[in-house]
Amino acid sequence: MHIDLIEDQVLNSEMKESTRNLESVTVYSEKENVNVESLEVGRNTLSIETISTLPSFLGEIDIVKSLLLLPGVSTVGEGAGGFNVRGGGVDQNLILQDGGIIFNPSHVFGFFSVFNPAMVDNVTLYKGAAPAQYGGRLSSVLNVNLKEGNYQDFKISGGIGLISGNLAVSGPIIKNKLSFIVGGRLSYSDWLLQAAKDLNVRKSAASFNDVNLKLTYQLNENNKLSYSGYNSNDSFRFASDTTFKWHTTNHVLNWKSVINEDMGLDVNVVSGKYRYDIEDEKGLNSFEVNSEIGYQTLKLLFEYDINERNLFNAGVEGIYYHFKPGEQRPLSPESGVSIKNIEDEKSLETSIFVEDEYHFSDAFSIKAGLRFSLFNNFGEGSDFIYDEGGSRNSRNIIDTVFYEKGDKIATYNGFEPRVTLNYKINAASAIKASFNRSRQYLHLISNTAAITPTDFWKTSNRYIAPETSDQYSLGYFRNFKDNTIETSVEAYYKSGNDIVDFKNGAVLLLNDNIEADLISGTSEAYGIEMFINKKAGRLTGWISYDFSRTFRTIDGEFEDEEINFGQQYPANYDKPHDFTFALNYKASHVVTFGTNFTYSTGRPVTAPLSLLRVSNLTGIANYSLRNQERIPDYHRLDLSMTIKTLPRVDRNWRFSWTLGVYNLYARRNAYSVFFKNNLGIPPSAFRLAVLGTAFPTVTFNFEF
Amino acid sequence: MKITKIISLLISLTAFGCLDQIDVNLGEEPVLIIDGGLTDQPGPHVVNLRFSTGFNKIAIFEKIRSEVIGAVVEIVDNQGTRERLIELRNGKYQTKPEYQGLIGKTYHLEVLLNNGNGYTSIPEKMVPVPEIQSGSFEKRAVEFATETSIGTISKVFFKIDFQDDPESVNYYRWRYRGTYQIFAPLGDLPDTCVVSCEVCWETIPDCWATAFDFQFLNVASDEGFSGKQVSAMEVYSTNVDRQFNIGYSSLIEQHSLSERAFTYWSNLKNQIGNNGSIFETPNFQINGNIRSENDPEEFVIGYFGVSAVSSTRIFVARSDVGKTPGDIPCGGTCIPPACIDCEQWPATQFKPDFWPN
Repeated sequence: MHIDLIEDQVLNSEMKESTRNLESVTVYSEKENVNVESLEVGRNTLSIETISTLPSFLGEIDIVKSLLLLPGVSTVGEGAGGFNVRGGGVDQNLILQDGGIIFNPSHVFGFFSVFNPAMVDNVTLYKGAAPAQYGGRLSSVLNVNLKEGNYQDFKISGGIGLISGNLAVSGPIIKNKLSFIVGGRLSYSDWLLQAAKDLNVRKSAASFNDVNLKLTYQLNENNKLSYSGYNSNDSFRFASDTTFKWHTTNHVLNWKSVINEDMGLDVNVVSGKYRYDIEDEKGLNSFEVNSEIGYQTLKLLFEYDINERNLFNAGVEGIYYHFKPGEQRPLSPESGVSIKNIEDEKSLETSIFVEDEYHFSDAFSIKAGLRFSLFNNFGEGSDFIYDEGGSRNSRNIIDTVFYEKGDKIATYNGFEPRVTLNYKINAASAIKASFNRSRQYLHLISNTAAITPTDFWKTSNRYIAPETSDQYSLGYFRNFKDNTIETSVEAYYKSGNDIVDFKNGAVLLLNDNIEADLISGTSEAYGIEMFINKKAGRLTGWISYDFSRTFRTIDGEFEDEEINFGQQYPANYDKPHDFTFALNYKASHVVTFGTNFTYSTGRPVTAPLSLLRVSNLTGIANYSLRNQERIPDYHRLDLSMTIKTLPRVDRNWRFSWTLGVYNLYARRNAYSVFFKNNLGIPPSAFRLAVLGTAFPTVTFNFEF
Repeated sequence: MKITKIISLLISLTAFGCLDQIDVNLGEEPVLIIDGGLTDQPGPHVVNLRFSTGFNKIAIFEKIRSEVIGAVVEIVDNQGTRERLIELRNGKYQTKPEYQGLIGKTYHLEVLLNNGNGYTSIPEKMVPVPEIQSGSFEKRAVEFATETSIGTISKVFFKIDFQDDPESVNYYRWRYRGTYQIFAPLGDLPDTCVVSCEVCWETIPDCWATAFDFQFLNVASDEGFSGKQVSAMEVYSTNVDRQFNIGYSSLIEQHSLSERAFTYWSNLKNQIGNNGSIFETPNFQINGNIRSENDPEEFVIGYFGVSAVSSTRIFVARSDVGKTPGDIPCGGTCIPPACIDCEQWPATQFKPDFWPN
């Protein structure tokens, strides 16, 4: 067939079906040398296929855990919720699932992630220079896109693992017009707790479940409407008394419209909620504590490809937050627990953004974006006024101001410029440089290094200014062997202002003048990341190494407003050396082997240095200044083997078995180091390894 | 909040996790501890000079460092009056018995070690403390959990009433001392002595022993009860054990604290029993009120505080607590000496003045 493309034309042709055996076909959704050509730096994309072939803990395919294998992404410890990107805190990542905000990405504290692998299509992480359409967090954007339902046939897929099972059903409601996909996961992990020796553990119960529903309606050739709903629940009961529950709901409505060949409009309406409860049902002390955040988002994104060399986008985003930071109440009439309620917070974050990508020549291109964000915290509410001659603490409260409903309490705004330059040396190599500034108006109030169920979020207010961060990065990208091997070296420097930290000895939960226990300071982070990624062939996977440091300086006016006498100190997640590899070897069409290894420097801790006796107390530990010591280095090797049915055209079902071992050489990686003061024996230091042994796993997956 | 439970859970997940004892080669440099106080009660008032000890060592077997011997230790008031403390053994220094603090005066401590290093405490004012209006007690069963079971144990809770001063912000620390009568089952035999393992112990049947508030720390600010009448506030509890065989007398002391002292003690209190895991409030270096004269960078541990003290006594008779464990067992090849001579408990045979007849 020969076609002369001199004008737009439509050509319909019917194809005949025939079967041929191909050696291997690699389908790229992007150009092969996208990492060289694109104006993206610090970006990693993972497909669910890649993620699912990596060995996993207890067979649970885990998106967040696979991100940890990438350079510049780390965690404070096994089972710790959240992740740290380029020296940023766990609250500095904007985590979006189909546009809905995920505030806590973990199930069972941090052992599993909240994303159902059966629903995930692809995952993109921006470690810096995020597009101007994203804002509100300092360190990264994690964009998780879910699959759309099948428009032609019904499909069922699922998996059964050691601790949870998942099922996804997809198909047309109106053929070629309206499709659905619904997926759910349910845990049955209690047997794991029953296997423990400790009675308290056996009396405990842990469970989680999540459901995703996505409907997609193809209105016409140019318009698509979709709904993505998400509901996730966690419950953890300790020794039959205290129950921790956390819960996320998101509703996302999206309208994608192609105005013409060059223009498109994307409208997102989101409503979501994150909430936790702590309950203790025992008589005299029965209580319930909860904290809830709700938000509604409206986002408009307009894209215009002015010409091949000039791509433009602009839009607006508004997010309304309604936070209930904490409420405590008794659960029974005889309970002695008093009712306590921390004031609600209402805030509006509005932003406008423009971005243009311009290719001056084949060699030189630039992407420049500008975001302007305006934040308002408004009443009703009240604030304590502190005596300015003293440190901000509860003993220096001199007055209280009250705000009427709708009164402005605090307002902040600022520009967030973002620039990326690409100089292409040749088709296989490029140098890229970028600068970006971000502003963050939400703060996770926590004095622990990981996200825990009792952490709560606060918006900026009279006392808590927005956090800001500037990042500079420079990278060299080079591909080899027909773009099948990607390599890169990226260096970055980041500085942050008004980074929120806590005072020594701060009590954060249900504290109605929390500003007196918080302090802010500056942060500094720098690092260099090396990455080699083999994308095709029997052996695929990557090797990465990064060296990075991250520090904070908190130097207030008064003694209790400084940390470590105002000297710079390492942040909780400062882990200078990080080496990982994640490799996959396809031995045949049936058998695939996967392995990953990770090594990182132990995280900083405030360690006991010596023991002392004061007054009537003995065995009291004298601690170092904040984060001056380190726990032992972390390393772990995992292995997996996947056996799949041989794909055949006449077979419309598939299944696979995955066998694996997590922590193959059973290293007792330290989670924390602490000391115990037992009567009769000298006080001594202990190391806690949460997963101190090798974990064999088996998972069964099916699709038909 | 019971977040600490999560960590104990994680620790107890020993089926998967594990806990190893490790060597910590940190902080070989011992740090000087200066610890003492002055009250408005008659002395002697004590100041201890010590050094911190390393891990895996028992403090009492540590050799006393020579620097703390022969030091000059003085309490100085705001009028410049100095009270030189008398050196006892092992770095312990004390005032004359008649020396006592006065409410309203400001005091600080000056220490000059024999190596020439000088230390001073940040001055503290002695503020008044409300009288304890009355004391009471209650016997109650509480739940406890061991690694293998959950049970209940009987305890006696001691409580006080007082009126907080509405005029000022007040900080409190409570201490206690229990005195209980003991009986040596073989002590009332007619013999003057009974042989146990070739030693003849004098027969003394009735004694009084003292239980100090070892490892007990209870401090509070008046936040939550400022200016109010406080009723039946629990100060401490103790297990229903042999202390209650005959009778138990509790002395509860209420100390006034400065804001700085309160911060110091409450920080210490929060850190005791904290495992330093990522789920807990991280531990930190606690600064007392002692500063080095020679080297402002030198870290010195400890606190010299001044307090006014009020007290109350509460008597608990055996009949108030019900069943107690009874006399100590006196069988075996060697009869325990405390079965014959109750002073071996250890205790004293002299009946305290406050003991009811």
